[in-house]
Amino acid sequence: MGLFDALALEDFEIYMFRHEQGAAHAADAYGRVKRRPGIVLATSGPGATNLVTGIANAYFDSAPMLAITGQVPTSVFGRDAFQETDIVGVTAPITKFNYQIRKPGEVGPVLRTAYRLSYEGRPGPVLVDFPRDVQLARYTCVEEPMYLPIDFSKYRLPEPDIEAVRKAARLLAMALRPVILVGNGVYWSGAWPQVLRLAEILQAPIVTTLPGKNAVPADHRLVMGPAGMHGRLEADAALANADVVLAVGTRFSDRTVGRFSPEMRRMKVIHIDSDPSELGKNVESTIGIVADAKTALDALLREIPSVARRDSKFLEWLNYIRRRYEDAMERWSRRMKKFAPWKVLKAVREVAPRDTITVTGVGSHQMWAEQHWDVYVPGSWITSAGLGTMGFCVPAALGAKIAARDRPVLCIDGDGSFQMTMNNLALVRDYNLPITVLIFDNRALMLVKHWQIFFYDRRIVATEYSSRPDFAKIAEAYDIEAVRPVDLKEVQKWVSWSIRNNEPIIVVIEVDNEEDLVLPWVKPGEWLANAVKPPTLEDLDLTYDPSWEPQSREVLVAARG
Amino acid sequence: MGGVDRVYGLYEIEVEAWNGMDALMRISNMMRRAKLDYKRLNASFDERMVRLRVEALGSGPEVRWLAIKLSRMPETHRVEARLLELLDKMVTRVG
Repeated sequence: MGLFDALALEDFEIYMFRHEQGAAHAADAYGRVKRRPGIVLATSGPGATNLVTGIANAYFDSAPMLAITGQVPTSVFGRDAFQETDIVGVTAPITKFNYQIRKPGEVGPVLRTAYRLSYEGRPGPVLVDFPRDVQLARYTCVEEPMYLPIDFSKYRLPEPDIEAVRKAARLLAMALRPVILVGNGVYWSGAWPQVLRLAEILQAPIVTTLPGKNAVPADHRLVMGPAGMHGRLEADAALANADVVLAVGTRFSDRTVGRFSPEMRRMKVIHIDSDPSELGKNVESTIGIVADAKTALDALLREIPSVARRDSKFLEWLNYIRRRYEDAMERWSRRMKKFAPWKVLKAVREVAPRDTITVTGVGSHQMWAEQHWDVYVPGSWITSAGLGTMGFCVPAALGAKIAARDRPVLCIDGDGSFQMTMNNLALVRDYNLPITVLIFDNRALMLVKHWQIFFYDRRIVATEYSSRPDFAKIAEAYDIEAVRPVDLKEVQKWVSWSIRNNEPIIVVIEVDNEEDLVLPWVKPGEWLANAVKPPTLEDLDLTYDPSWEPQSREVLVAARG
Repeated sequence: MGGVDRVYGLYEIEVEAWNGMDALMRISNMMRRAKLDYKRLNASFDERMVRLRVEALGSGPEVRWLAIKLSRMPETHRVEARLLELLDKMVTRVG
C-alpha cells in the first residue's frame, strides 16, 4: 500500500493485471521487446507466490525483469503473520539476484542495483522484497548510505580468445558440411548480421532453437528453421548430418538436439556463449569461446580464410527435403476434417505485417508455430521455451503491446493455454491494448494426449475437455469481437480487420483433436535423424548419403506421384 | 576442457560471499543443482563476509560448472575449486 501510494505521486504507467502470474508474464515480454526489465509489483503472501511461475519463466528464457514484492513488517517476521511468506527463500533458485530490504536507506541503492543486475551480462529476473514498515518509514535520502559490494566487472564479457577463434575459423573452412546453430543469445547480442554474413561465406545452413527463431529472418535462403523435438525436417537433417557445428548463444537444450550422444560426439562443435557455465554443460565442445556473440563472430569473420572445401550437394539435399516436407504437409492438410493448423498460420502470415510481434502459448499450437510461422524481424518472436508455461500468451501479448504500441501483436494460443490466464483480457479495454488472438481450439491438452497415444497405448487420461466454454461469449464479456471462421479466407479477413483497425479480436480456429498430432516429432532421447515424419514421408531418409544425386531423386519422387 | 577435468575425485570448493544468511541460502540452492556428493561443509561468518569450504565427490566438469555458476552470483567475491584426490571410478550422487 505504501509503495503504491508513493507511485501515485509520480508519473508511472501502472497496469493492473487480474492475476499476478499474468503481470509477471507481461513484464517478461515487455523486457524482451524493450531489452530492459519490465517491472512487476505484487503484495505479500499469495500475491508474491503467484508471481513465481512468471519469474521462473523469465529465468529459464533469460529475460530481464524486476519483481518487487510487499512483505509483512519486520517486527512480525517469523510469527506466521497474515500473508507472511519467505518469498526470498522461495525465489532464490529462479532469480539472478534477490534481496529483502531491512532499512529505508537501502531502498535506492538496492533497487538501482537490482535493476542493473537484471540486464547486465546474461539477462534474468531479480526480486526485491519490501517489508511494510520499511515502505511506511519516513526517510530523507541525502546520500546513499548503504553499499552493495557487487563486483559488476564479473559480468563484463571477455574479448574472445584469438587463438580459439583462429582454430574455429580453420575448422569451419575445412568442414564439408558446416551448420550454424542459432540460439536466442544471438538476438540479445544483436549478432544476426554477423550470423548471416558468416553463413553466406561458408554456404552453411542455419538452424535455430525454438527461442532462436527470434534471431534470424526465416526468409533468408540459408535459414532452415528450428531443429529439435518439434523442429522442421530440413533443420533436423542439417544438424544431424553436420560435420562441424558452430553453436552461438544456445545451451544445447535436450529439446533441440534430442539425445546428446553418441552422434554428437562424431561432430566437431564450436560453441560461443556469453555464459561460461554453458560451455561443456550439455555437449562437449571441440572449441569453446566465452564472449559476446557479436564480438566473437566479428573476430571469426576476420579470421575466416577462403573456404577450402565444401559438399556442394548438402544444401541441395536439404532443400529437397524441404520441398518434400512442404508437399507432404499440403497433401495432409487436404485430408483434415477441420482446419489444418499450419495452413492457418501460413494464411495469417500472408496478411500480417513483417514486423508483427508474435507471442505463443504452450501446447500443440506452439509447436505448429515453431515449424510453420515465419519470423522475419529479429526480436518479434516471444515464446515460453525453457519452462513451457501454459497461460503465457495473453498476458505476454499484452506486455508486448505495452512495449510496442505502434506494432501489431499476434497471440497464437491454444484453448488449454488460453483458459489459464484469459482473465487478463480485461486489460485490453482497460488500457486500450488491442491484440489479435488466435485460439487453436482442439478441446484437449494435445501435446500430452499425443504422448498418451504414442507411449501409453492410447489411454487418454485428463487431457480432453468437454465442449465448454464458448470463447465467443467470453470475448463478448470483455467487449472484444470474436469470430469462428469457416475457411482460410475468412481467417485472413478477420486478422486483417483487427490489424488494420487496431481493434482486438479473438479468432477461434476449430481443430480436430484426433488429427492434431504435431509431426515431425523427435521422441525424447531419440536422435534427430530418427524423427517421426508426417504421413507419406516415411521413406524419406534424414541421414545424408554423399552419393545422393538431386535429379534422379526428384525424378523418382515425381514418378511416385 | 582438458583430460584432467574429466577425472572423478574429491574436490575442495571455497567460496567467499557477502550478505550473510541470504547468500548462504542462495549458494546452497545452487550447490544442490550440481550432481556432486557433498562430504563436508564448513561455514564461518564475520561482520562482512560468509566463508564456505566444501568437500565434494564428483566429476571435474560438474565441479567446473558449479564454480562458474557460483562465481557469477552477485554475492560472491571469490570462488576456488581444486582437486584433492583422484578416484578411479565414477561417483554417483545419492539423494
